[in-house]
Amino acid sequence: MKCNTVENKMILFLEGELDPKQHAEMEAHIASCSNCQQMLEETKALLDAFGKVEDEVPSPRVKQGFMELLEEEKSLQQFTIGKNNSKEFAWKTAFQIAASILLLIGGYAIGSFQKGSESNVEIAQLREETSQLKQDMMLAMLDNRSVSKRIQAVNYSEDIAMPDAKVLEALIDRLHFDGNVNVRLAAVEALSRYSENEKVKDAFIKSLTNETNPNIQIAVIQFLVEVQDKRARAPMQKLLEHSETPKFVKDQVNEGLVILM
Amino acid sequence: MNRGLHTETLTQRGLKHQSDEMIMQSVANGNLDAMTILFDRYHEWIYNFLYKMKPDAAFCEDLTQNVFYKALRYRTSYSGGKFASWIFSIARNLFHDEVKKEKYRTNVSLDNLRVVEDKEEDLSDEVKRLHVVLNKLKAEEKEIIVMSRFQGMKYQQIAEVIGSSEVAVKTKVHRVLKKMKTLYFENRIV
Repeated sequence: MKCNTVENKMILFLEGELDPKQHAEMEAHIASCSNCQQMLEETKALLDAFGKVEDEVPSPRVKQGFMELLEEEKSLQQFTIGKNNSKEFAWKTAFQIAASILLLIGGYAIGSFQKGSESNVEIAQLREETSQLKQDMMLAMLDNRSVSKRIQAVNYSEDIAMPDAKVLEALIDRLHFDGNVNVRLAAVEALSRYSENEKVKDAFIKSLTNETNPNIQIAVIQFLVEVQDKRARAPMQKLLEHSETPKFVKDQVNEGLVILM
Repeated sequence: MNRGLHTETLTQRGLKHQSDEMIMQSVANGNLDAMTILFDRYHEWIYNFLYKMKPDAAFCEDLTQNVFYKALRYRTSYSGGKFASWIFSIARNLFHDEVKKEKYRTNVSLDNLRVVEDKEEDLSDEVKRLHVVLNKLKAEEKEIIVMSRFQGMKYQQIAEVIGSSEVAVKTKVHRVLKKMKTLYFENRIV
């Protein structure tokens, strides 16, 4: 074995990674070569020096800071409804059946309408029932496991001319807690039509505090600026200060803040 | 309420004896408190890596916090691999980002960062000499040596983290050690 080879294999030798035959050859060479002996000692000394460096101990500040960040993250933790295991329901069929029942009742209603004037009242009643049915369908569908079904349900809410508190609440729930960004975004759009409603405004303010997705942040900011809700200023300021906020969101915030002043 | 709290502590206690990977999976599934266990297991390890790379206690403490916060934030992106490698990659990426930002601000590059200066007088001669040598290495050379010699990482694990092969990492570590040995004995008097 040449000195050159010994040098190249020195660390493997010291780490015990050579096969027994090579290991023996190294030992034999080193025993007979003073240069390589010195090299062995030097390499050992270097490797020993590594072991003499002591570990640093960070101050308790690190743990305190981490615990604070953990609490912050826990408060942001959102409930993902998409995970529950409700059984898949055949929505298409359900709508079809509902539609045919409506058609039947509708046909009957038209018939009785032609018969007499009292029927007007019945039609009005039927209309109400129809919208009630639609609304119930939509509410049930909002809890569906499939994302696209939930988006569809959110969009159905637009067909409901005068949604009651239940519908708004369900939409607001989507806005806050849905695990899917697209559903939350659809909820923002649907809710934006009720700009007069105080509950909706409150929900948007709350969403601005908790939401981390930039697309939704922007949509929410646009809404709040549009309705001139000055309460939005505090959460918007917070977004500006937060290091995670992307620049384009900050730009939107700055624009909005000027208008809200 | 009380009962819920009780069960919570029990789960936490049960997790204490689980593997890192099991615990991280639990965190990814929403049990954020379990991250405390991983923090306790790994924060000194991470801190020491950062400190070897840049001996600035305040900087490294902030960054260590941030590493675990990022892990918490992006918990769902944890895909079940070795936790130590995953958290280390987060630390390494954050560290390089920070240094890049700093370089942009102050024009000091990683190559010029010195290892431990403040407590220098308490150190043994060998350790001081080792620091001098480490300071002479290029940033990437220093990093690979820190990983292999101080962090106790296996060649395979380093390869995973830096996106290389085990053989390449081994060769490189050996080459740098050889270079260090020369420098170490060249600078007997410092």
